[in-house]
Amino acid sequence: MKDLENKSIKYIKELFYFFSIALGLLFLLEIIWPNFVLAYFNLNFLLLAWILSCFYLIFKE
Amino acid sequence: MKKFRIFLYSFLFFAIVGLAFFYFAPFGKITYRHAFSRQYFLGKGFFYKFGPSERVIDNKIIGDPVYFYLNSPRNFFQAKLTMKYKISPQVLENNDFINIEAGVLVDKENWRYNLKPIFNNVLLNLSGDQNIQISNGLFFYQKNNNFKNYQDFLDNNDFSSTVFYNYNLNYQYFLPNYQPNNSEQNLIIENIRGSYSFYTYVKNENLDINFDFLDLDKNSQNDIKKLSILVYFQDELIFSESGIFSDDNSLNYLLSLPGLPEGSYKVEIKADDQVLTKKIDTKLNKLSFINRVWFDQKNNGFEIFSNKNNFRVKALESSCLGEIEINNKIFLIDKIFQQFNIEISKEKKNLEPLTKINSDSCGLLIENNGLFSFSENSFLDPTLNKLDQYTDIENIDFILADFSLPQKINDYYVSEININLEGAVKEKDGYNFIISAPFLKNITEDQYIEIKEIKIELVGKNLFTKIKEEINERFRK
Repeated sequence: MKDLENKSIKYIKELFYFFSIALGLLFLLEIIWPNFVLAYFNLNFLLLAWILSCFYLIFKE
Repeated sequence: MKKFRIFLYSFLFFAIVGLAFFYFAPFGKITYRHAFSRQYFLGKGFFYKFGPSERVIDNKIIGDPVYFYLNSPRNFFQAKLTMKYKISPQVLENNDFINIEAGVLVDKENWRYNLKPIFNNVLLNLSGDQNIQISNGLFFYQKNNNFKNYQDFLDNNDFSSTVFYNYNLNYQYFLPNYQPNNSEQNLIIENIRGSYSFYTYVKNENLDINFDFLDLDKNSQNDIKKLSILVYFQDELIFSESGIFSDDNSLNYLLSLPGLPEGSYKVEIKADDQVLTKKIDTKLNKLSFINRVWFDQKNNGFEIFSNKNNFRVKALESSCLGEIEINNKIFLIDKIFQQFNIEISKEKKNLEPLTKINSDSCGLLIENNGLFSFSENSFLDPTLNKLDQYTDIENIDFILADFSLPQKINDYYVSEININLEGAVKEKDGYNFIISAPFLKNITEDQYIEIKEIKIELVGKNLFTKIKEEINERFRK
């Protein structure tokens, strides 16, 4: 059980870094070229995923 | 863990490459769709600001006109617009002339759109007739089958009982028995507001017109204010120049073009609404304003003539409210900014070619789809008859239209038009499109056009040509 929890923390941590980088990069691209991302994808979903992973890590670690 | 990391960052990389591909359209072609029934919860799409909101309910257009923006990241030179739509039964029952057009904004100052036909019920109803020929995208109708094809008809050069629709004929107009003005008396027109255009006629004389302009905008003293003067011959621009207002907000401009061949010329003045043309002074005999005349409030009454019998009249100053007399019938213009639609039925015994419009009022804006002159003698009509709601099809022998019939799929029509984007205005929000349906002028919820889908295919230069051009440009510098 403990192993599974440690493993999931590791994966969520990786996802958290991924979401942070993706959010920063897509946000930057949207600023440079307006509508580059937002025309196809709503960044709020990514932000929500980032917040959820963030909370998970705060409460589990 | 390493595999998971590689998967995530590869996904991000390919997602960005995909987005970049759709954004920059490297092959110079991209298609954008807007399906009204589908919600875009993942992205906001490329179509914006369908409106005004009071003319659109969900996917139904109930008023005219309707605008939207297409946010394309780069410039393109051609757009193929495909629209899938349904016309409400009440529209089909209550309107004799149903004409839908769509187009793109080409002149922001004068709010002018380049329109192409989407739907026309007159042509659609005629399409079942045996005297119809459709070739090279042209729709040719002849009542009595006089000609083999439209080329033979055009070669015949008699268009007296013909109407054209979305067709620009390179047609040379000659006025029989025209003599240049040899008297000392000039044609003088005073106090016209904003932009306007007119036709004039030249034969063995110079195209000389003296304009006196005044800028009424008191706040513009620190700005450099300009207006443009353009001259066209057979739809080709032959002259254009900008005039700059002096410090006292006035501008005197002499348009002088010597040695022109005989024919009718179109002169266009592009200015904002605060520009007053105090005086137009010319020795030319013929001068007909196109579609509109806007008198300034400084005017003390007027008398004009038009070749049409329907008018849209608007008072833009409260001091100018009053009566207008059209062919001896009096109409009251008693509300400011309200458009009064006036139609005069011509009695058969009184078939005067021109309708007389006069008023003691000032500052009225008078519009129709015809021409206006300031005297009967100065009237000139070099235009060809166009298919509109006032066309009496029974008296028409020929129709030539650049029009593709819409396809009918179940209850829906599918129309396709090609729009030239070169010269189109591209704003921050992208290209501004319009859907015009004049029969929806009076907003009622049971008369509508239901739009199922709009698809716009954009064609432009591919990225490699663009880069090559950029390099060549820099190298030249």
